[in-house]
Amino acid sequence: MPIDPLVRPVLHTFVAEIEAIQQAVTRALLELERPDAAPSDLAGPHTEVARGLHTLKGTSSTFGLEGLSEVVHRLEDLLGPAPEGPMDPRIADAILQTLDFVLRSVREIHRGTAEEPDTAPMLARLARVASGAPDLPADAEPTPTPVAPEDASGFRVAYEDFVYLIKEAEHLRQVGLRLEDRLRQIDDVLETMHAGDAGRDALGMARTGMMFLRRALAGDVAEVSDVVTSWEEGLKVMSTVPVATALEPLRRAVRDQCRVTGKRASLAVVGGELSLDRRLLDALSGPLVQLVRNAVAHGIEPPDERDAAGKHAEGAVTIRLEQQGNLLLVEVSDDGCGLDLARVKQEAMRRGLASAEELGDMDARELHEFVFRSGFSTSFEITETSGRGVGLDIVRERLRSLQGQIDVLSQSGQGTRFLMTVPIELGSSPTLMLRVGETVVGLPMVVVESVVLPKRQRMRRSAHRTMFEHNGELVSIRDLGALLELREPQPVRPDQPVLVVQSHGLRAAIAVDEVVADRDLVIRPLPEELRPLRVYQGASVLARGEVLLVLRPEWLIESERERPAAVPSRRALVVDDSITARAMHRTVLESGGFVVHGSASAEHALEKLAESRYDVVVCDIRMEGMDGLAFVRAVRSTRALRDIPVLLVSVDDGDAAGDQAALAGADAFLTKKSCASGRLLAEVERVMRLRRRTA
Amino acid sequence: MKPVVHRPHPEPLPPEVVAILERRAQRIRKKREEEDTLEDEAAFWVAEFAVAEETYAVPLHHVHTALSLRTVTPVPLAPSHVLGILRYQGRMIVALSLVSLLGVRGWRTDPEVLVVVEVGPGRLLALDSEQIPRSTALPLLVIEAARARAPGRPVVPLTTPDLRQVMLIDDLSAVIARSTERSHAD
Repeated sequence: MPIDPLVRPVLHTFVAEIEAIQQAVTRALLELERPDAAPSDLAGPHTEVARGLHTLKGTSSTFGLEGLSEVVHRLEDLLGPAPEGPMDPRIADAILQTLDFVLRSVREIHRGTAEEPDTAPMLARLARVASGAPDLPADAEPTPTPVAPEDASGFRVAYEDFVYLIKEAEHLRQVGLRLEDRLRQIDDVLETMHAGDAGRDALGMARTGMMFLRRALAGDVAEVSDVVTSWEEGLKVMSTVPVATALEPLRRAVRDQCRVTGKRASLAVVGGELSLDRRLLDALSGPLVQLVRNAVAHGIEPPDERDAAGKHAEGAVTIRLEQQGNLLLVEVSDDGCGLDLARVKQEAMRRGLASAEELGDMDARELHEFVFRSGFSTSFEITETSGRGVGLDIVRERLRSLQGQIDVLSQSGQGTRFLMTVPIELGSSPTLMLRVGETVVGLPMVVVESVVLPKRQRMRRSAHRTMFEHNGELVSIRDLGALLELREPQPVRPDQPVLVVQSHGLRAAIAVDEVVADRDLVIRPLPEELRPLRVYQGASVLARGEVLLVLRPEWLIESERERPAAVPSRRALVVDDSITARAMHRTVLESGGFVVHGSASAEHALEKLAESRYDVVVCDIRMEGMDGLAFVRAVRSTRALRDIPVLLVSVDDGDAAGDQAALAGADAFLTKKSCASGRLLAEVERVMRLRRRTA
Repeated sequence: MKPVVHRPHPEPLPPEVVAILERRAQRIRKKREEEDTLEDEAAFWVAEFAVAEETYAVPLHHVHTALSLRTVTPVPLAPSHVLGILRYQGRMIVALSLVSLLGVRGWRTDPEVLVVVEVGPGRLLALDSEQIPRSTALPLLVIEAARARAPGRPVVPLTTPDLRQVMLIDDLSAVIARSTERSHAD
């Protein structure tokens, strides 16, 4: 029967209602199917299913969808009274598949792509299940995945949320009018000051007026800040959705995969209370379904194998979500058999991706990377859901399209963890601004456990590291400047701020020169060219348009754990107030095997020389503040530094500059025009050799 | 109606002056012919700039604008050819050292200009330059001949009709990719 045209536009409310019912019923069925459930635990979930089906039947009828109402009525019959034991999985299958059918049908009717469907095949199927006859194979219907909103470019907004934002906009307008008034007051004060040429009284009045204005403006600033925060909160409410709700369909994916494979597994979501941009969750739904299915199909072992391995018969699949600044961290893990490295090697060789020798040199992490190759599969069997080598490559592609990344960690016999990071576009994040030397970087405040000034008596120094006692635990302190390769590692000073950072349950302590400020910043992903740098999770634009790079907390933790012991190498300091000149010198010197640190001023360079040992200094002559000649004189007059080879460079041609350089005490001089790679390196080597000989 | 003014007939010019004027006329005619030839031929517009003693060029349609270099934030741990990051038209873009990308052969003045170029659909980059680039037209035939001599090369050497040597950066993405690979290998 054709749908009443007046009804069609309001069908979206029915779609939303079916989605909610489907989620509640799925959750209840999972409880009803549990083999270890006590009969007393079954009444509640059974009532939940019965209530959902009854509501669905009534609403279908209200919308004139009598065929669908009839199908749901048969489902109610099939459900029957509260069971004494676990539910027959065939009945659970029938209920879930029928709900999929109803939801799909109503969506199509709403979109206008179909009328009410033919329900005869579905009714026949339910009759077969009711009679206990063997079920025919189900239509090849995939497990429903979290579905994107009907209009993927937008989302529905509650009326009261919308009105709230309009009121806040009116509030902002009032503040704007008040600011206009303040401008007029400033004009009055300026006029008074002008008159003040003649007398002190007028200046006194002007001062009083300015003090009043300052107070008033401070109040306005606070009010604007409140309105902006309120707006941001309102927009977040509108555009985000609780993660737990969005991930609910994944329980069904696990359940269906278990039915197909004969395995037992349950899904746990940690961090489900987070509310996230619904577009992001929609975009992640595909990768999550794939990873969860893979976890059951490839990771979790059959119950008898798990028993034999001393594991619980039911495998655990866990999704853990955490927001760090503008980054969403998602981990999908299972406690199954882990990746089979022997199979990975075998498949990599079979596909000609690497030779046996190359594979022999690879560590586990490098081998794990093969699973993201297109067509790569370690599954012996080809089934409906696995063995085709299609999946993880698409997951990685999807993550890349979201400007995110995915890594895998696996331990044989213990399980596999897929770690995804995706930038979150919406909203600002509290960020600490930290200074090391001349560089200021940001760090999401959410990972900073505390900022302390470690007292000398609480520090323990060894040859390689400094530890300090924090909450009864010894934590190793790393110098952020050294981690960023801006300088050599510095011994921690007692007055130096140390940040205790925690991420993924791990902790690190980072020493900085200064905690500059804390700000609520909108952090954006870095341009494509910089994304391979794992050190940053994004960047923010500050009030004057300057860019602040924001560190990735995971990187700080990894640096703490994974940094190999430093290999002794030659160190060069490049001093030049031109960022381009520093880059060019660095390119040349790095190609000659030097570790290069840069300094934008001679004053900072002297500080660096006092703190660290350098094998050679390349310094520009013409610089703002202290120039290169004064710098060399300062170096030569300092006992500890006087033997450091210094090469001066300049854009100035001619002998005069060279003479001045020599007179100041430089070991050599080059014009920048002659700073070709070979020439500069040869000159650096020469002055180092000469100094060694003299010494 | 304007009255017609009859000018007296000019005195005959001395032969050496006539010779000078004739040479000048020849030069003007030749220049005009050259311009006509260039106009007749398809032209390829480039932005030209000097790097030390060499002249480089990028296709003009890739160039967005030139900016002061002072607004760049350095990026610790980035490869040495990355100068830093900056804000341009509400988005963040990367500034690269062209000299480092091409291989350092010295420079005359410290670059103080950034040239913003588009290296792919919507992908903007900034390159440092010693001065604001000069736009100029080169005959397309010259470009094509040079490309044919150096097939697939991202930087194509060519000689202009006035016998200048220019290095045309034909595929900036490839230059960057090569340099990035090199820095990863290091």
